[in-house]
Amino acid sequence: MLKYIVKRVLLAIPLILGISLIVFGLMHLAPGDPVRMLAGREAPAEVVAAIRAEWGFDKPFFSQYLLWLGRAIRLDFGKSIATNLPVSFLIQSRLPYTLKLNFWATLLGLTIAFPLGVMAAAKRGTWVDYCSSALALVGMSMPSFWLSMVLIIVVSVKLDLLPTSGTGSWLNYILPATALGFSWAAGLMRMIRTSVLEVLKEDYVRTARAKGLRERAVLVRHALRNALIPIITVLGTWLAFMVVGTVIVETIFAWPGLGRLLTTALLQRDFFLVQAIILMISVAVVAANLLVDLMYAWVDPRVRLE
Amino acid sequence: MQDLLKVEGLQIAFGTSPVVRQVSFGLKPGETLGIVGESGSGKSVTALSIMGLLSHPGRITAGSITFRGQDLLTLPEDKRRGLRGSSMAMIFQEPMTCLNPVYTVGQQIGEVLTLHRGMDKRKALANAAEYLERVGIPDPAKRLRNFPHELSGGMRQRVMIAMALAGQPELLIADEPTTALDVTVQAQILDLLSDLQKDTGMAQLLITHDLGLVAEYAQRAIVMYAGQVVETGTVQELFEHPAHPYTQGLLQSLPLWGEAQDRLYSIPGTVPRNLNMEGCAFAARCPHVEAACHQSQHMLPVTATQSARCWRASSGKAKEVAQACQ
Amino acid sequence: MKTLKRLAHHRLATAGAIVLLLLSLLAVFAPFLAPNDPADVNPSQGLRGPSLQYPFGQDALGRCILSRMLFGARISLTVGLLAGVISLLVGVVMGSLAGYFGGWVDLLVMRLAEVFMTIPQFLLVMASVAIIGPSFNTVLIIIGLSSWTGYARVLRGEILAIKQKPFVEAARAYGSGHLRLLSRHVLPNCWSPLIVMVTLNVANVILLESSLSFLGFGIQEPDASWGSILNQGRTYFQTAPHIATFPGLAIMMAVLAFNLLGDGMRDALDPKLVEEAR
Repeated sequence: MLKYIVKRVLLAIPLILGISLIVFGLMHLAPGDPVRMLAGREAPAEVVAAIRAEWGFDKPFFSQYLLWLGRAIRLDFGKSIATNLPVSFLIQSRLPYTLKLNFWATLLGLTIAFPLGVMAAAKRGTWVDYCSSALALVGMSMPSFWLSMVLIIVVSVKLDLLPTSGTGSWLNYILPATALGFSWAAGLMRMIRTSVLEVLKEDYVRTARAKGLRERAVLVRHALRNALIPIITVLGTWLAFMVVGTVIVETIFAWPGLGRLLTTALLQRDFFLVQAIILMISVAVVAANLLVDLMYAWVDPRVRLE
Repeated sequence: MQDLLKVEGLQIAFGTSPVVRQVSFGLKPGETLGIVGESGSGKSVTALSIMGLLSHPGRITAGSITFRGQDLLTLPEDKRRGLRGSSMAMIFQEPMTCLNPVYTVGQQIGEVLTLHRGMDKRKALANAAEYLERVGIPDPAKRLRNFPHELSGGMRQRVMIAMALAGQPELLIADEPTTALDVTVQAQILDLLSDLQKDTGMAQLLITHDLGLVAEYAQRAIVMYAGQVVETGTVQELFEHPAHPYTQGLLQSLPLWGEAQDRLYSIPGTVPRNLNMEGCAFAARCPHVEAACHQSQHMLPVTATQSARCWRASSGKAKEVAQACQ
Repeated sequence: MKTLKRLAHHRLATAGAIVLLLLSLLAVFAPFLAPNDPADVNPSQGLRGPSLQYPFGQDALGRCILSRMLFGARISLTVGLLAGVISLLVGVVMGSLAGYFGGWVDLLVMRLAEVFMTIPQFLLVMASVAIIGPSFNTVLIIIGLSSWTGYARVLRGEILAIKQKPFVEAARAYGSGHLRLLSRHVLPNCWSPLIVMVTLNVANVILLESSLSFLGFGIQEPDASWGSILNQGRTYFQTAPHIATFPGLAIMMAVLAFNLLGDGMRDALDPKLVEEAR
């Protein structure tokens, strides 16, 4: 078990290095001088020169990368061009909002996806199955920005039930969390249905029935526990999936989180900030995947032995 | 003595196509009845219907199943479930896939004890060790904590048997319990089953394609072909004077029958797919087929305990045919 | 043929195919179908709701939303299909390299794939497009270049499996070249999972492009995709919901149709295929 964990952690290191290389390399995609871009279009010559010297842009690509990486490891991502504040400070102040929103969206998604997915599989071919499968397909196909807009128009503007922006009360969380969690739940629901159906064909489910267990116990204790193994693999893509929604939903609901920080940074061409946010989110994805691997070992005893 | 289990006129269909037709037999307490047939003969489906585990699209279309005088088919599902795993238990062909991979052996046996015998989890686990010991698993306390993938096929089948025993069943249905196992392990498992039967007095339904196993472990047997019972009798009768040409064919294909043979006999052809035919289902493969075979066949008595679904059975021709075969 | 027949029996897949056909026809014949000139600006009539002359209403500049959507369909669908094809090509090349040559090539390609799968594609695309400068071509190429990983993984797996088979050995013994071996023996054996993946991937790309354009990093004025029409509607959607409603429905319909078709094809071609494409 310990060997398994250590192996996973060690494998994550080259991955993170690869990610940082791509994220850093992004800046060199710019037509012309990357420093001009980093400094901002209207920056005076001495600012450009200062940045060039500070980040070693007069040196070869690889030394630039190492210099940047060395500072990034110490969470020093430079200063935001637009606000002149340290990038890490900006991120720190926005992160809690994003985390809270994602937490509620995930919780909402799980509470929708699990019962519906399992029920659809258990009652395969009935109206419960058809309705939840249709809901899942629509949810997967609906762009999150559109869902956000519809929610705002219907719930806030027409019915005047919930606020459209602000973060003060728990009421503020309902709409953005729904917009964010729903399409994720849709995909997850389908996946849960498929894997529970797959497991229900297994011989050990028949054994469980032969023991005289209630159908509910067969489903939850025997089928679902095994179905979790493929489901957890899909949970690994959870964060990557949430990122898209977070950027969009935060922008529409004027949510002061990382997603909106990123779109603003991109619009203001504040690329030190962009670099840092993308790197941070990607590393978070790596961490989420690690967590999934650990959950995997917890659910499937066969993995523990490897 | 009254029958523990009585199956009468059982018909099972998958959707609209019948797979089991007019199957009737009885089983007395403590007795072992063999059900013999090729794959597709309907023997496993019959067993599942007794347990109430027939899954969609299979359904019972006619007949009755009586257990301890209770009609199982009209029993509410809740009561029926109460019988499953306690009064009647079943073990299956594939020990490799029949145990849940994510629970330990102890948890899986313990589940039966908490469910049917009202033990708490702690006590159930301790008791599970006893059952492991009874099925001949060494070091049971340690094995309790093993997951199925850490055990061999034979061990897993022993665990399945322990799980079945834990409910203290009066009827144990063993569906090809040794087919997936090594030959050396086969005998061990079957010996274990027959020893346990002597200890507990439970009745057994031994389902197999191997007539040899029936000879050794059962007192009576029914032979199934294409969803029908084609012959029934005591094991001795079936071996000494089989009345149905199919039973005769099965016997001839056994290696122990006769002395040194250059090659084993095999029945030509395969089990028919479409069971909606008139006349004898075996006619297409029968070496003695005549015009009368194409009319519908009924179970005809040969002796007081033996009967066969062949018009020759009671006309004295059966013996001639049997002798001709040897 | 057999697969086509099975696909035709799949009612939802057929429905998806019909919707896609209709949408494509609308896009192709946009100039004949559009009730108004999509570029015709009419500021005094800005934000008016649906009327006889403007069935889906007018945007902030008074342009006809239906006409803009008909022309927008060309861009949205083209980006979806072309980016799907580009990523398939890149994926096939990468997957073939990895599976066929093995060794360090395999290691390098698969590590790269892992990196690309970890950095959220949306962020990568959004940042790249913003850095390079948004345009139809950039959006198309960047999306195409960043969604190859799924194909590469599937193809690599298939190649590794097929490499073991005797007929490939035999072909090699007869002196078949690498390319020939790949195109004659390996690819024909794994086109079915790939084609399912392309279909589901196109659905994904359409969503991606529309999200991008919605945020203003995608298709730029005066061109319009469904997403960029919504981008404009974003400012006014609380007072003039019709701007956002119709393009949103169009996106949903197209994505749903590709998803249905992809699901149907998966069932018809290969029921065991995992949910890798999403």
